[in-house]
Amino acid sequence: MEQKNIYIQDLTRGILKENPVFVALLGMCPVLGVTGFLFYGFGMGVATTLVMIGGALLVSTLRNYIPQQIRIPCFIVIIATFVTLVDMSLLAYQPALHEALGVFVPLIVCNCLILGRLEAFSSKRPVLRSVSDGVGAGLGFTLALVLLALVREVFGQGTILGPDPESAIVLFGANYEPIGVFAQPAGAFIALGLLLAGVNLFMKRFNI
Amino acid sequence: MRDIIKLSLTLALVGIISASLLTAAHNVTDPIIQERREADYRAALEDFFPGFDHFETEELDEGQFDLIYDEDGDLMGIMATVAALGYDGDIDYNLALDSEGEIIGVRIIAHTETPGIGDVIERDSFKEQFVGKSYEDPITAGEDVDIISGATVSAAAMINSIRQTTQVVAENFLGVEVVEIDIAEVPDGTYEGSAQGFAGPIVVEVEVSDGEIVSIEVLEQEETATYFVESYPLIPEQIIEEQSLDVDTQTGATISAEGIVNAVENALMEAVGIEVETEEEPVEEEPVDVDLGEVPDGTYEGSAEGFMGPIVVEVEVAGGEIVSIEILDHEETPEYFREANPLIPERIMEEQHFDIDTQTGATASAEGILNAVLDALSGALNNGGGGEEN
Repeated sequence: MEQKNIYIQDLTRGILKENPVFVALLGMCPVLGVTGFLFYGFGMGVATTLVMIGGALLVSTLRNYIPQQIRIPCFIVIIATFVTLVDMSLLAYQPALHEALGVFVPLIVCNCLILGRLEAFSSKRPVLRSVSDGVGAGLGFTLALVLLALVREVFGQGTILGPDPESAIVLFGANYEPIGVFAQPAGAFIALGLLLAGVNLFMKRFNI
Repeated sequence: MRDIIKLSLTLALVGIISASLLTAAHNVTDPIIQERREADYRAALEDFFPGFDHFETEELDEGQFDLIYDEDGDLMGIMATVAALGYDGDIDYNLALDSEGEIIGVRIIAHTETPGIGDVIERDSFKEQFVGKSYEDPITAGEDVDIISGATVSAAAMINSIRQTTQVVAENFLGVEVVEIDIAEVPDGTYEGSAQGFAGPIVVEVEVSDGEIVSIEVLEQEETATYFVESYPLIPEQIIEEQSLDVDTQTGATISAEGIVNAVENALMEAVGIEVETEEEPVEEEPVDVDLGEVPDGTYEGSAEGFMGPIVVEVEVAGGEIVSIEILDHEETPEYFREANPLIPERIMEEQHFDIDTQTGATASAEGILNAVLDALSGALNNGGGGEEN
């Protein structure tokens, strides 16, 4: 039982208590950059999660063979590998999402969340725990992106599940004037600040 | 020493693992990506050349040219796959031309221009201005096509590349003879000529003596100084050295370089008596006016092209005055559109005439609304007053 608990702890820690975005404020570039639409935010979250899991798996497997002096270049090469994998898969299977995320996909390489978790956690712990941690951090990141994107899309565009007109649900009718600033990068900062305040309040209230 | 070897080997090993993973993934995804690109291209062909039967591919230095044939084997047109050197790398695009050399459409395949700035070249309003133009048109910024401010380099690159491509197609596939100037036939003398550069006209003075160009001087230019030095005096020197206008204009300032070459060409053409098309002042469009007093009461629908697509309006006229203007449908970007709506309808109703200021944050949309209103009202008049009265 004790053992099992550890994995669940590793997994859940990243989702709320040590949420990469809401608590650690890591990886802000994509958080602010691609959260204009729910679909983009979710896609970015999933892409980052996949890289996170792949990186955690490989780094913890190789952790005893990678010398201390060159661990960072090794980690970066491993991360870059998975990023390129995700990039190619997106291009092949989700071209619209690939185009929308644009340069932010290759930029996952320098998302400090991933390198941070690999360096602080995966490089020192067994494979299963590392993967749990990777899944948790990835889910936490996705959750944050989805929440922020939801706020921004609802207020900034007045839709949900856009921008594809086939799936987009217009929320407030044709007369609603979207709050344009939420669609802009500056609005991402404002929305993020409000969300951070909300999450902090929530965590304090429930003692998480 | 042993340390270094061990470290290098580890790094190499990680690299090998990475490379093999990527190779495997590439082998899986590449066919799918290629297939999708192929399908996209096919769809584009079908779009530009409906009902085409087959095509033959010709590779030239400039790019790939697909000659499109219909069922009877008649040439329907040409689809060029070429690259323009943009602000930040190549802009790959397709240019579809009909069998007369007229542009049917432009399709951007891939580019790495600055998001939000250079990617305006993907806008329909930019691409559509080329439709119907051919190698006989100047296709020059400020003359018959518009450059987009803020993305001057990207837009100019596309405009220049499209002009060249129309000419390449005309010369290679449509059998159009290009007027060649035989320098030996040019009588001695000093000639002046001008052509569009990057920022404005470039005026040159060419001196010909014994059938040779002996000097080229730039009299006037408005190019950016830091770029212009890349082409001047290099290009005149090359022309004089080779005694030919067919010089390599791929410099750090390609557009200026071409401007110089074209100016020299125009000077020589004039010298041998070939008429040079002079720039015509763009004809000011007569403001369309509808006499409101003649429009019977009623509600009329009209539409006109906005920035992204048609704008449909409903205009209500009562007692010779416009009492309401409602936008029924539009495809404009909401953020821009609200710069024009409801401002423009309000202005029209306030002034009760159509000579209003459309310079807003969304001028194209504003003009679209105005034209749609005019369309509605002129429709009302032409229908003998009946209109679509509700």
